[in-house]
Amino acid sequence: MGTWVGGGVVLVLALAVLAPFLYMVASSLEGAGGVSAYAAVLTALPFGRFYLNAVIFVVLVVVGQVLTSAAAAYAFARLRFPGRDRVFLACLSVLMIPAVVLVIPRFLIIDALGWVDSYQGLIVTEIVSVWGIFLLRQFFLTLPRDLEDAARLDGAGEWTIFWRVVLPLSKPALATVAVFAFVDQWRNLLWPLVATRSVEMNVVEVGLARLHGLPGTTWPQQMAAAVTVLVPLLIVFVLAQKYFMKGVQLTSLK
Amino acid sequence: MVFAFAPLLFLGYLSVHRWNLSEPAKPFVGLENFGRVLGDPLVWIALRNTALFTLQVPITMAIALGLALLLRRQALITRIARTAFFLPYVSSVVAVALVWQWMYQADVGIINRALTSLGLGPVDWLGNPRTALLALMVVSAWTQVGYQMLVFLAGLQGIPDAYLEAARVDGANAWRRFWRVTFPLLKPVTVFVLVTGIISSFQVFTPVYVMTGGGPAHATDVLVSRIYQSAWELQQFGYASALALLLFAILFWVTWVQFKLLGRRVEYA
Repeated sequence: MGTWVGGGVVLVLALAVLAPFLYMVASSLEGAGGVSAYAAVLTALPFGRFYLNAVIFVVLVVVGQVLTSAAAAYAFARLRFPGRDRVFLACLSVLMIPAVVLVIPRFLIIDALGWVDSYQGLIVTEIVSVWGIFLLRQFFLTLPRDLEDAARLDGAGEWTIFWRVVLPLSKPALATVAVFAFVDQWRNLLWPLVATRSVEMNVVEVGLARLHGLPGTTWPQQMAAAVTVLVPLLIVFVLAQKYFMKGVQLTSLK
Repeated sequence: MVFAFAPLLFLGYLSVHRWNLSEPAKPFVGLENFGRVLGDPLVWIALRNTALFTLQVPITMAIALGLALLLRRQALITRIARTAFFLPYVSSVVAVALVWQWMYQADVGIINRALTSLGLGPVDWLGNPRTALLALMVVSAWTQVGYQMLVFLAGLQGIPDAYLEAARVDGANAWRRFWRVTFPLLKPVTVFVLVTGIISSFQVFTPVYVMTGGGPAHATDVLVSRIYQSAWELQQFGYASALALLLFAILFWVTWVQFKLLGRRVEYA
C-alpha cells in the first residue's frame, strides 16, 4: 500500500518536472495560417546554417577535449618529470577561475589575432578541459600497471602503450568526458555570442536567442526552434545516460 | 595552463587600463576602473540581485535532498523519475528560458491562465520588478534540482546500512535517524553541493539575457550581465575587467571558506 502511494507521488512529481517540455512541444505544433511553426522558423533565420556551425564547433571541441585531456592526464598519471604533481595542482586550481572571468581576455586575444567571427576563434579557447584532465587522470591511476609492464616487455614505447593499451581500457571514462563536452558546448551561449558577430557564424544556441529578439516572431515559432535545439541533447542524453550519472558521481566524490 | 593563467594576468593588466576596441590609445589609469566599479550604483544593485538570486541554492538543495531520500530505492519507477529530474540540467539553457518566459507571459501564459481560472492573478511575473527575480530563481531551481539530487544520491550510497540499522535497533525513528545519522554523514556532500551551487549561481547569465535583459528597472541585473554589457555593449573592457576581478575575488573567498569547512570533515568507513 505504502509503496503504491509513494510510486504515485514519484510519478506525479516526474510529470510535473517534465511539464515545461511537454508544453513546449504542444505549443510548437500550433501553426498559423496553414504554415507550420517549424517551416516558419526556417524562413525567418538560417537555422540550417546554425546547425551546421554548431555541429562543426561541437564536434571539433569534443575531439579536441578528449585528445588533450587524455594526453595531459596520461602525463600526470604515468610519466615521470620534475614538478609533475605541483603542475597538476596548479592545473586543478584553474577549475576555480569562473569561465566568465576568462571570456574578456580570451575575446581580446582572438580579436588581436583577427579570429573573431571565425571557426578557429570559436574553437581554440575551448579545446582544453581541466575537468576532463582531472577525471581521466583519476581513472588512469586506477588502471593496473601489469598490462603496461607486459606491453613494455614486448618492446612497446610510451606512445604505443598510451594508444594501444591505456586508451582502449579507458573507453567509459573517455565517453564521460565526451558527452559532457558535447552538452556543455552545444548549449554554450556566452562564448559563441561574443566570439561571433555575423548571422552566418551563429551556433544554434545563439540563433535561438536571436530568434527571440526578432520582431514578429510568434511563441509557437520560438517553441518549434527550441524543440529542434533540444533534440540532439535529448538523443545524446538518452543514449549516454550512464556516462552522465558516472560523471556526476566522479566529480562529487573526489 | 597557458589557456587559463595567461588570460588571468592579461585581465589584471586590462583592469588598470582604459581599453576601448575602437580607440588606439589604451592609457594606464591606475585604480580608476576599480574606483568606478565600487562607485557605480548599478554594480551594487547587480551584486544585491546576484546575492538574492543565490538564495535559491539552499532552497533547491533542501528539495533535492528530499527527492534523493524519496528516490533512494532501486526500482524502475525511481530510475525513470531520476532521469526526468536530471533532464532540465542537460537541456539547452536558452530553450529552457524561452519556454519559461512563454509560460510566465502576463496575458496568455499558461501559469496566469491557470491562476485566473482559480480566481487569482494574473501576475506579470517577468514584468513586475517585485516578482521578476523570483521568477528567474524558480527556473534556476528547476534546472539544478535534478543534478543536486544525483549528487545527494551518490552521497547516500556511501553511508553504510549498518549505521542506520544500529540506530533503528536503538529505537530511533525515521526523523531522528535522518538528523542524527544521515545528515551529519552527508556533510561533505552538502558542503560540496552548496559551494558549487553558489559558484554557478553567481555566474548566472543566460536566463537573464534571454528572459529579462536585466529589467524591469534593473530588478534582475546580475554581475555577469553587467560585465557583458560593460564590455560588449559599452566597449569598456578595462572597466569590465575590474568588475570580473571583483566577481573572481568573491568566488575565491567562497572556495576558501569551503576548504576551511571541509578541513574538519567527518570521516567515515
